[in-house]
Amino acid sequence: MNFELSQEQQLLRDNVRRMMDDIATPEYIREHDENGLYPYGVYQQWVDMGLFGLPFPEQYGGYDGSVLDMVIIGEELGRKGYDFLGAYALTIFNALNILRHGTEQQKSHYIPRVINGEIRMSISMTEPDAGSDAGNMRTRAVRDGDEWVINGQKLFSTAADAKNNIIHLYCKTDTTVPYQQGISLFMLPYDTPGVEIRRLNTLGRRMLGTNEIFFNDVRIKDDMRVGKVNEGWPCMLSGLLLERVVTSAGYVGNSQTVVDQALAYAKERKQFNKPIGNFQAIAHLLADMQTKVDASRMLMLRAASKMAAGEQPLREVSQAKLFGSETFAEVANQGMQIMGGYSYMMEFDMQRHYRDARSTTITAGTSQMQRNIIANTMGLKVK
Amino acid sequence: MHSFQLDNDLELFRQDVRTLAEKEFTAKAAHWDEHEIYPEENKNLLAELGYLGMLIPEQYGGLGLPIVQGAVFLEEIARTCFNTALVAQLYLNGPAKALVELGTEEQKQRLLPALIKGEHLIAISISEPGAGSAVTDLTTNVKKVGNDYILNGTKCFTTAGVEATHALVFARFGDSKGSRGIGAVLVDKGMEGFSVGKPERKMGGRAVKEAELHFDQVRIPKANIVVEGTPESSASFKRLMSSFGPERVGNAAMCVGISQGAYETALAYSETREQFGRPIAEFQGIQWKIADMATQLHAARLMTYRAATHLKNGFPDPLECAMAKLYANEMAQRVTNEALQIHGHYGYCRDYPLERMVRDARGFSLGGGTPEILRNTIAAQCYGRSFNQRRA
Repeated sequence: MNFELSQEQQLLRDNVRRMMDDIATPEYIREHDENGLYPYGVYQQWVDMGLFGLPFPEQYGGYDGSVLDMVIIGEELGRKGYDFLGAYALTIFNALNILRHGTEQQKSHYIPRVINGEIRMSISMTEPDAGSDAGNMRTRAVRDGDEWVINGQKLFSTAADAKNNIIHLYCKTDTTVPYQQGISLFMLPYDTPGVEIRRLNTLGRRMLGTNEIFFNDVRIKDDMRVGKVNEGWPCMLSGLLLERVVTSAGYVGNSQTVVDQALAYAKERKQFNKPIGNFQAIAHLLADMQTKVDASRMLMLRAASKMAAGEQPLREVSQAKLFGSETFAEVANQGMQIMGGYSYMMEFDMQRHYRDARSTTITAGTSQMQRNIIANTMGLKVK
Repeated sequence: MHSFQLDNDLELFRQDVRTLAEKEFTAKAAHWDEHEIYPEENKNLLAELGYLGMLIPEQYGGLGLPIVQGAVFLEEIARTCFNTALVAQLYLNGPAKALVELGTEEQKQRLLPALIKGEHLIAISISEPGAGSAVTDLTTNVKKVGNDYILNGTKCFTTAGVEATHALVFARFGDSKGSRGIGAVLVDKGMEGFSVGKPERKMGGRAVKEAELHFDQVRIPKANIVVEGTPESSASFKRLMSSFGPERVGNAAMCVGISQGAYETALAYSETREQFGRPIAEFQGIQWKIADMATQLHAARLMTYRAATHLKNGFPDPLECAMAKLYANEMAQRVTNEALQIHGHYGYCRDYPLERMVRDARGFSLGGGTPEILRNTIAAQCYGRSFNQRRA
């Protein structure tokens, strides 16, 4: 087993880290979190660095990067805050669906525009009554000549209202078949007439924002459909492993920052005439925190290397996601405790990590759903 | 053997407070939080109904009710509106209680009647930038000059420091070190040299902000000395700390209340929310979460009532107060977080009260004696000796 990064990978990591250190300063992040502002400036830097070309083939302007490159970037972006990874990953994952399932025309039109930053992408799947039970969705698209007419409501759609965004919308196109059948995937520019996006007020992840979207007789050309009619569900599943493993890399990055900041504080903060990190109870807490973050990283890297080797490691990916998110929430909570009353103040970063971390056991498949998946791979029929 | 039941009249009292809180405080609970506005109208209503003086002796216009009744009261208010409970706690326990127990007769006559009416508010000011858990490192200083005392120093994290009309300030008398020489003085707003800094914005309990207090050559009349410190002795500091037992009981009671609110919300939600064709309450993973939440709540509630009723010389047993606050603080984090998890992403959004409850509950473990400091206290009792935290 080799846990070392190659020279190219180290270079990639260092470059991304340096770039993020330069632009995503504490002041920048605080201002964007506080005011719910999308990080357009940082996004543009990623474009300029060519990060959006990473997973795409050369023929569309990409670099043919691997899953391992993706998780390296994921961890680095996550270091500054999980929401940064979110902004990057949303565009990448949805554009990858075009690569996998789109027409040649869609690929050659959209992928270069994703890479040059002209457009960004988000996903919209969850509905009021279809959360973990995503197959239960009701938003409907009805065919009308070479157009589709969409009506319904989506919920918890991250970054849907960002400029030049294209929403990847999953909706029901055949209501006569049950459940996960009869779902199709459409690309819907966020400013299409009939689309109304309302930002929800959330505990954390306030830069990208979480939205409710209403569709009222929205008309869209059939060439905006990705993949075959009624085969949206497999489309969604096809990217899920990559989504979860890169997401887990973001958890690892943000968790590591939590430990770094708590550690720096424990070394500096003096009570009873000595740094609080010299007290055994605090030292042991920090030792546990770093151990758990390293374990998250190992689980994530194991899943990513299996994927890089062409496997579909369903269990390993869910383990990385489950352990990574629970660890992130746990260390953020412990980080707050180490920083005491200061951590509770909005001018310190730890409260933001705590608020952001709290979403991760819920989104991209709750911890409960990951446990179901893991148990199923162990031969259990979980009801 | 006690039946471990509250008396029937206390249960009736609980019902009254619950009805009041649901009717008057539920609707705007999110408002105070969202806009970070001090819930003045709620405080006024509680004053009007006599609740602010419920624990203050009758001779000063209060109701003279027992500490446990105050705990039930705070529990029920926190169940719906934590920010209102946080304000009430400042009137019921903490500084008000310290004044009752330790103040001079003249101070009590002067301050308590107006306190009960909600006209006065005494804030408690202990922490300093360099003296948090290590409270006996505080450097705010009082020097005797003629008949008066001169106060100098800076305090931080003073809850409701902006709204308070008075502050009970822990300060060091003369040249002294550690717990020796620490006493407390009352500073009136408007005294020359006393200023309040910009309030800190925080993650939870947002309606009742923390402020820095600055004292620059503030002249304190002798009449405002609550407990005089003497550089040779730590007796004054110990007296001051012992009067904060009821505050810890009140703190634990608020944890129980806020967790009860979160638990009830999650229980109801799990019965109505359907996924995979059935209410999520039908899944064992959810049922056991609810079972664990109820069990922990029960334990914290029993510990709180026990600490509130097991009095020694009129004060709750410090060990039981420490254990109750420690357990309730951490229980509140777990229970509110599980309630949020049961709600899925709805719990993360402000249209539901869960994210607010999680933010509010997180603060209990960061002030009023952190769980870390309480563990020190408890360990010292277990071993029968205190450990020198300053050992190199």
